Amino acid sequence: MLSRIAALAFFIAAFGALPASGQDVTRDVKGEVLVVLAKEAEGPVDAKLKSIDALQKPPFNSFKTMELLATHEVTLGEATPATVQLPNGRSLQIKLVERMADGRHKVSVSINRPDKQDYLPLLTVIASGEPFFVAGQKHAGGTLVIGVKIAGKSAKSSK
Amino acid sequence: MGPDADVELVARARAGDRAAFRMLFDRYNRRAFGVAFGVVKNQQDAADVVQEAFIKVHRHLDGFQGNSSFYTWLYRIVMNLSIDQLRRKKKVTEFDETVRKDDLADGATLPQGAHENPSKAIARKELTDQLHAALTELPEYHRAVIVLREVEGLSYEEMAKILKVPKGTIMSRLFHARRKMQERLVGYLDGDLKVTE
Amino acid sequence: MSIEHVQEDALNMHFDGELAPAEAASVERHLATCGECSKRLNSMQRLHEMITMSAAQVASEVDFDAMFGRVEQGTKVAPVPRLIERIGLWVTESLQHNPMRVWAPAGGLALAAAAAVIFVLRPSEPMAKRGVVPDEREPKREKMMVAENDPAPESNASEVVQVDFGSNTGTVFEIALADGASTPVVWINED
Repeated sequence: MLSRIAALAFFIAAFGALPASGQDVTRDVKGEVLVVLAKEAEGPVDAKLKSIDALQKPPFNSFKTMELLATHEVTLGEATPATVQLPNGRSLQIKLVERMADGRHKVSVSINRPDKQDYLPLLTVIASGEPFFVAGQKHAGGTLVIGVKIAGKSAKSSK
Repeated sequence: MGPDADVELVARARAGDRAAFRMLFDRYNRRAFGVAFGVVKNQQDAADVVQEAFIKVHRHLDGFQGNSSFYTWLYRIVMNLSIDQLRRKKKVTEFDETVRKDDLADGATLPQGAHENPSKAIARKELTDQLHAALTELPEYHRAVIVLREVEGLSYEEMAKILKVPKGTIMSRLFHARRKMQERLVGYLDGDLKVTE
Repeated sequence: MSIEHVQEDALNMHFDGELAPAEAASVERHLATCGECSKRLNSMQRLHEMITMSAAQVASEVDFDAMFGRVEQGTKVAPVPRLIERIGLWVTESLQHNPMRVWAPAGGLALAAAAAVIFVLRPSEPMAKRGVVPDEREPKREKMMVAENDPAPESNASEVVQVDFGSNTGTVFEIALADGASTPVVWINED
């Protein structure tokens, strides 16, 4: 009897530790978040930003200085949002809401101080491979422009 | 460029003169668009209305008797098509919620013109958004009247002819629409925001 | 005319230039000394400026040359036979705006009108389709129609579905790109 229980316990433990090879592969969604500090005064524009079409048009083309503060590679899973710390102390969180039939992804974006819902509580975007922008926060004498790009197709990965 | 000049262009267009028809189009396209947009509140829908209106004008040139001025006739067509479009869209949104998302950025590009201060462009955009929201809250026939008056500067008499209602009805709708808009936009109409370029 | 303040109707009519000269002069004299009525008039003026600016701004973004091209295409298509189209046009517009004009005529004419209504009135359809006008929006509508049978092709556009600015204010707009696509921008107003 004891040996049977031990064997059972062993199998349960073994089962728990095994990789979930019998389950669906996890499909994560890759993305990129650019954090840009834009100022109206004359100054340098980061080379990488010059290739982003939208930043060459109004209203962004009024900013004569654009500094790429950070580039964050993010991964969104079904239950794993991505969080990016912003230079002004707030956090930007991106959650995957839905994978659309047309290859785009519906994501929700929020910008808040830690543990608060006080700034941009909710933004829902259907994102293709092209970026969208959240701008307007004041920081260090300029304006933060956050570019979010979510991959058009899911990147498959298995665990 | 008064109604008499229109009469001549209409006669030439009726005889197949495409240049004359183009001149009529050029003369009234923006104004017709302004009126249509004021009612349907969507740039693409307004463009569809104007396009369809001029197609109808061309098809019915033979039937235009000249009893009213050309622009009265045109605006009547634009009004009818605009209201049709509103009603069509209302039916669609009742059972298709996803259409409503278009309203969020409907025709909402910032003007490409200026390298202007971004705060100013954004402030102006916000003003425009509030204005559109206020117009959308008006009943469609009130919206039609205030747009015809403010955009086209038409007299009460002219509006009464276009909309085929008594002059008193025009006045009542216009004054009501203005009052509602002023109540809705109180912060913007009294404040320091510079509206004109 | 009230000696205290200008009545709303009269002020509106004055703003629109619809008062008789003597009445207009009387209102002008009052406005010269009444701050409150002047303020009401200014508010009308600002509303007028807002509306005209907005209309001009939106119209400036439209390609009217391209639109005229589509109008020309639409006028080239053979129209529905004239008589039936005229009846249809008259009936359609009258039904919507003055129904009695259609139903009042007696006997055969009412029957003919009813027949024309059944023939001419169609369920809602894209306006551009009526004249079988080639239209840049047609491909999009075709995609929507085939979606049930075929997987929809991948769209290139991001779009904002919903936004809650919380205690802030903000605006949403699009930046038109060179290739015809557009990029949504959410702008938060920070004072």
